[in-house]
Amino acid sequence: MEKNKKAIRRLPNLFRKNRLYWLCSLFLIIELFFPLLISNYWTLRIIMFANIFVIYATSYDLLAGYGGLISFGHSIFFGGAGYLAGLLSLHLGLPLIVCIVAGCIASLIFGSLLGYTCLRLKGPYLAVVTLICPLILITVVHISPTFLGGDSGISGFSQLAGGSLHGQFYIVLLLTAVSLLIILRLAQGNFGLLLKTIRENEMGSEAAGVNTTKYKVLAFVISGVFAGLGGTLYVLIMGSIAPNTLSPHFSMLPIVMIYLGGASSIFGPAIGAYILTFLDLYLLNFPYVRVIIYAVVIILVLRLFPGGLMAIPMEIRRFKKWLYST
Amino acid sequence: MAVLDVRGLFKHFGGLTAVNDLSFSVEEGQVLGIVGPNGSGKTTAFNLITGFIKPEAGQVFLDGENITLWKPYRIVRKGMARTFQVVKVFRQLSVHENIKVAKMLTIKTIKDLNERVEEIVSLVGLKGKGKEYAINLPIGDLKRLEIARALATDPRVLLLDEPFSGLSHHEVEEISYFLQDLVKHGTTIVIVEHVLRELRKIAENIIVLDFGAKIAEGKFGDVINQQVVREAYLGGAASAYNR
Repeated sequence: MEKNKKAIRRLPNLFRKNRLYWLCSLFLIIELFFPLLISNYWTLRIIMFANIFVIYATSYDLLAGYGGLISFGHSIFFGGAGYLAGLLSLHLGLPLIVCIVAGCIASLIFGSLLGYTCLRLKGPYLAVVTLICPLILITVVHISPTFLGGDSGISGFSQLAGGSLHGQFYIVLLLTAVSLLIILRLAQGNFGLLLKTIRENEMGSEAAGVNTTKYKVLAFVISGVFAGLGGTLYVLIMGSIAPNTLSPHFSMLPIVMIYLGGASSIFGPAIGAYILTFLDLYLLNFPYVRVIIYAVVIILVLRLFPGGLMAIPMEIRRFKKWLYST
Repeated sequence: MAVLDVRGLFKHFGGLTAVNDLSFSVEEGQVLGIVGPNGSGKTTAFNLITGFIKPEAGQVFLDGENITLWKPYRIVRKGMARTFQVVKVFRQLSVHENIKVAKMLTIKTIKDLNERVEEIVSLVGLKGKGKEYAINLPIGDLKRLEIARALATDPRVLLLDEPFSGLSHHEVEEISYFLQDLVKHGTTIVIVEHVLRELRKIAENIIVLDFGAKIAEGKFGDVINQQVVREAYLGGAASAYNR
């Protein structure tokens, strides 16, 4: 017993602090066995895409949930990095790992540029500027059909793990686990705390000696890199990319995911990513009903639990308290 | 040598001159009060000194170094912290986290950091409320918390913008005792305040602003009785009536 206690004490801080880390790790470990337990190709593929959207949504949570920097153009990282990875593979025949790294580096550079551009912007102004960026890239794609594929996009480049579903599943799972761990470490540590102070009160944050410029740009950069990673994985699994990955729809996805799950919690957006991906892909055969169900679920959750799904335990506790008091 | 030296600060907004050729200096361990009617430029002067607004003319020296165009966070790190008239604490964070943000700039190890934060929590009279979210605190505690955050940056000069505004009589007394304690420990303070009864207990010297310009300077008792100061506060007619 004493030995076990000592072992627990040796664990990294974050595992001791929060039982959600355990749940998350447990879920990822269980996922290791999914390819053996689930024979349905479609289900396994949806889980894989859900994991990619976990990276995308949690990266966005760092920027918008923690930093309060609500960007309406996060697809610039997702689709932009995806396009770059696809082009490098198609035209230069580079190994896929190099394509993924290049996509992430491009997101890093663009994240710092966008971060500096948007330094003085807040709320709707920030939203409009960030919304414009992917729209510009979409226009560039449309007017260069020979190099960027125009409306129909590009295809024919190598697929991740040679197109093997199980190989792709494990690569995505590994990268999701690593990304989630890094994002969690950042969010639950000093970086997350400093971002929260910027969200809460930027003047107050400066008065506490925080270099808000540096941390805002860093939030864009880090968030962009992980969104770019998600984008390259998405594209290299699909084996093709179209301009719709840069569309406002793809920018709205992480916003809905984080508010559905519960912003500034990391786990909430991960849950939101799973729910929306499953809803989106399982209801593909019902195109009209799909949108209605999608909307009803979001409205119901946000109406009943304004803090998202992560707020449910708190709401239950509050309800119990109210019940006992009456 | 003066710790804080302000020379000829000037700022106008449109047609309004908010601060007009403001100069003063503060010695180590001194407490300087800044008074004046509403809209006389006291808070703008604070914003100019702490880098939140850039002055059109003039210079600010901290410990002999020109910090005029520095960013606010650099000025804080150099040793000048401030509070705001309308408190700017982080309401969705705990008391402990609010202070930790400022303290973690100087202390890196978690153990030392937590110990120092706890010390500051106790010092400002918020012991036992470390885990409380700022949003749940009454205004008196929020004022204390903001002062605690400023103290956590280990300032050489502390600028307090109306620390008694919006407080009940009891809360004013509590904060006043606390500030008097800080003064006894030799903290250099510049304080903007309307509650002259309490300011008298803290600040020995004051300057008076009116329409952005300094109209009087000196010992509290001498300055407050000057005709020009009475007129600035009460207006010409009221001052005549008083006579």
